[in-house]
Amino acid sequence: MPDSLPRNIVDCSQLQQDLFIEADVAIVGTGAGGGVAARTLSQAGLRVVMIEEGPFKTTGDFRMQESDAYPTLYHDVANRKTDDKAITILQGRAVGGGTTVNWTSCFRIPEQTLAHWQQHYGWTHNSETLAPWYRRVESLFNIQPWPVHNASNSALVRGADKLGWQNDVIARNVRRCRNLGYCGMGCPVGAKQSTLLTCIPDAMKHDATLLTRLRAQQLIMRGDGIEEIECHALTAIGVDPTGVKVRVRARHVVLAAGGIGSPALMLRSRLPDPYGLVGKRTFLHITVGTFAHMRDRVDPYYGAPQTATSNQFLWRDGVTGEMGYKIEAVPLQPGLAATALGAFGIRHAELMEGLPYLQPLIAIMRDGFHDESAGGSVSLNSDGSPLLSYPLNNYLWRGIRHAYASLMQIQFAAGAQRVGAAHSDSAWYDNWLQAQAAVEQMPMKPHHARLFSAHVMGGCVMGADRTRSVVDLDGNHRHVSNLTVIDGSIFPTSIGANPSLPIYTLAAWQSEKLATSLRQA
Amino acid sequence: MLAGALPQPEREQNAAIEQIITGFDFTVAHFPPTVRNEIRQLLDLLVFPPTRVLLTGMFASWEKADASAVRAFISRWETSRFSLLRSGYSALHDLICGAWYVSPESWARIGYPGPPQLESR
Ligand SMILES: Cc1cc2nc3c(=O)[nH]c(=O)nc-3n(C[C@H](O)[C@H](O)[C@H](O)COP(=O)(O)OP(=O)(O)OC[C@H]3O[C@@H](n4cnc5c(N)ncnc54)[C@H](O)[C@@H]3O)c2cc1C
Ligand code: SF4
Repeated sequence: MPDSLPRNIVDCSQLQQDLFIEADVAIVGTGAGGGVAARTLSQAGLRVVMIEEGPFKTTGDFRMQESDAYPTLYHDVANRKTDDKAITILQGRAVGGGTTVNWTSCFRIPEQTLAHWQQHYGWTHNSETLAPWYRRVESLFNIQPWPVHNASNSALVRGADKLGWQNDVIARNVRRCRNLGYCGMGCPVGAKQSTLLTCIPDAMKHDATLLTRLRAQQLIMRGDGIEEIECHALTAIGVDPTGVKVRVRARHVVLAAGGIGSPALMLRSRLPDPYGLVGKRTFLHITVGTFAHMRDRVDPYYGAPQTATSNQFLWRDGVTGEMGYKIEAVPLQPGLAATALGAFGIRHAELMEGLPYLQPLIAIMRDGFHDESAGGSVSLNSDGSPLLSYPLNNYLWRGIRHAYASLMQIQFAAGAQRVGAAHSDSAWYDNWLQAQAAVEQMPMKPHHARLFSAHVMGGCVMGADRTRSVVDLDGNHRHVSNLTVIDGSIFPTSIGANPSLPIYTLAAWQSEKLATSLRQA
Repeated sequence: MLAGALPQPEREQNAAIEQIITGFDFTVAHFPPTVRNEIRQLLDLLVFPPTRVLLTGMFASWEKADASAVRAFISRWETSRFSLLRSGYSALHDLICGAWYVSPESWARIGYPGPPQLESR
């Protein structure tokens, strides 16, 4: 932590009295979308104010300890849940948003996904029109293939190769990364090129103001536009309001509070929503996992977290058929491991004892491409806080069953001694045939299968048809004259790949366009 | 919940339990008010005798309960037909297991060497 914060960062938990601030553009949220927007708009000479509910923490604060990272840097202590508690959602809540804690895996939007969005949502982007924006963003975040595999990722490559399954090296947004593996707790050496270390400092150099520990509570309309944002300062712990209010008045508002966050703020503000679309079609890339016990130490907590992936089953039944999934490894520090392993008591203790030998794989389920995959929907608790419900149906469970089997198949091919699923009814299996037979029989039910998400997308769908989209093809709200959404909530389905690079890229394009129109106005 | 995971000597075990309770409270303090309320309600149900007997099948109060009865209750909740009990199970599971395994005292047993040392730059 620097001794004194730069002048233009205000930690609102310390404010003793209400504040009123004016700017050209107010940006709510400083994650992947908000960070890029803040940089572009302030470089264009506009006066930018960023509003962030999380704290400002940076390289020197990151200590590779789950015990302080999760409460400080994540929503709900990295344990946000759907209404039925069946899905655990990891979502960043700090300056830099998800980019401060993410695992740095970067993918362009798959061709199939773009084609689907063109066909069904009237999107006009294709890989050619996006190419210059990808190049810009990839250079800004130093995104490059990272073929340095830890034991966990090596096992993924080894298993997939042996089976003849497609696999690739992952590109990462890092500079002089030391392969520590603690990306999820904030990079302690400043290697990760998050918006925290790239875009936000650039914006600050161009006189942007950053208000932290400040929650945008309500967008206050006047006529057909937003006149003011009412914000509540939060205590240092970061969840309860202190009572101090900050009013931010700006010509234009950029909503970049992410999936769940952006639609929730629209709902709280009762923005016009004639077709009832806000918060609907929230997608999660629901994630399931299996664990292999290897003969040699894996040390799954060390090394760059994700460097290899297999898309063998991503489009297994075509774009709109049975649900496909992307396969990746994950970093496994003990706290995360303890919650991912569903068992309790002696069995849990034994599983944890094997941690150094555990090799985890995950399948990221590509939701939203099929009629039976309509995603979740955001609503509000009585205190205005968001709540996500995500119905689980057989279409999804069939995909998950298929995924468990494939993950275990890779692990046995990679030489696993035994393999089990992160599922309460799973035992250890000694060979692939046994595992396959067991997966066939496993009950696919909430709370039995451990379900996670680290990729919240959708809820403010971007599209050409005004009856099916919250924002138009530039991200402008359809019924509010001065509101643009720039974050992961605009995607009409999940992406089928980790979302950060797609968000950075669209944000770069959207905010450039917005800067031009605001300068002309 | 953590049978088999805690150190055996009584003094260390009590210290570990203290640690878990502190971690539990610390985590709960960082949850939004709605989630804090749900956890409070869950704990109330577990302490209040009529609901305790009804939901956990345990007649003895917690201080007097023996380990096998507690194990039976946890396992009933884990696999219950009622999603409410299953979600109670996951909440307790994540809070208790999480609180123990993020603390360095738990690491020796599982062979986690801890975060790497950074040479000062
Ligand atoms: C542990 C983890 C690992 C991940 N790994 C990868 C990876 O390897 N590769 C990848 O591509 N993606 C990864 N992701 C996902 C990726 O980081 C997110 O998809 C991305 O950051 C989302 O960007 P966003 O702009 O939509 O929102 P976010 O980055 O989530 O930013 C939203 C910000 O808005 C703030 N906010 C919300 N509501 C309000 C409000 N009312 N007032 C003020 N502020 C508010 C939040 O605190 C947050 O900081 C990971 C995510 C997590 C959590
Ligand atoms: S793996 Fe690299 S980017 Fe991630 S925390 Fe370690 S040094 Fe930082």
